[in-house]
Amino acid sequence: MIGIVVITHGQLGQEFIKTAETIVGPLQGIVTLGTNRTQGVESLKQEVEKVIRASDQGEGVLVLTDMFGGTPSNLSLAFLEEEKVEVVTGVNLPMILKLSLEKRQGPLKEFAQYVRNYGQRNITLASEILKAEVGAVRRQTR
Amino acid sequence: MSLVLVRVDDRLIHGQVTEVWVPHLTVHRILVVDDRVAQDSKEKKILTLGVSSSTQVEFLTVKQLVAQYPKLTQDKTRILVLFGRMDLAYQVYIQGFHYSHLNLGNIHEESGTKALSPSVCVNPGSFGQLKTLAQAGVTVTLQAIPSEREVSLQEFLK
Repeated sequence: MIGIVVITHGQLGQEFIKTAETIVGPLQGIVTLGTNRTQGVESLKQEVEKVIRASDQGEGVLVLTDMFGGTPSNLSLAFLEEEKVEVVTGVNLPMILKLSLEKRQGPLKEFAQYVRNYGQRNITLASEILKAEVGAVRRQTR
Repeated sequence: MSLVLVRVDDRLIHGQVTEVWVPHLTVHRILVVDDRVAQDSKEKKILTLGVSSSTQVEFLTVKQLVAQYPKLTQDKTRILVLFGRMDLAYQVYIQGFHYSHLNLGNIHEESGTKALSPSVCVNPGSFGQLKTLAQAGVTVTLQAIPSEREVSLQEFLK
């Protein structure tokens, strides 16, 4: 199974998991790590390395971070390694929920692309979707 | 030269910089001054990724920054200078790169440190350097992001 690590500012990752669990029940095998402003960059880097290594069960690790360009993401990118570590930035709740339902199997890169695409698809401008739906219904009934 | 912010931040370019300081001060150029990072092409790439393409990013060693001082004084662009460590900010000043204001963002030093704010923790050596800069006329303040109250180093020198 591919290991999942959620690395965010503060408690965001933990809260994502807690919230997801209220929707889909217990989530297994997802580790979270939060950065905080009182911690130095070197010790954070060591923690990031530790959780990534610990989550690897042989099929690689997918790291989900909260924001491209932020410290959690910057630190994680240093550990990018083909077939071993992939990083997807901009984690959202639909992605976490999806992870609970999916068999987390490789190839790692394809799995990472799948999670990225799923997260992107779930960002919507609701009024556009509603409008399109109404349009579709109208066309069908015409 | 328009040095809109001279900052010590051990995270270098991260969310506080790209999301807040750069738009807040309309920064055109970011100069990252760190001898180690200047040699590390992977880290340079990672740090640059989060910056919008309208902002230029350059990585310099202390020596390169000091050498550029005359040229930078003619520069009309709005520049943010970032140091990864306190001693680098001190060294450039001693070597002639004179700034009037130093912002302390994130510093997490070890052994015998004094916490000046939740994100600034300095050892006695760095504290001494800060005092020297303040005596030389530099306004030293602590402020992680613009919405936070700016605290003067003077409050710790009383």
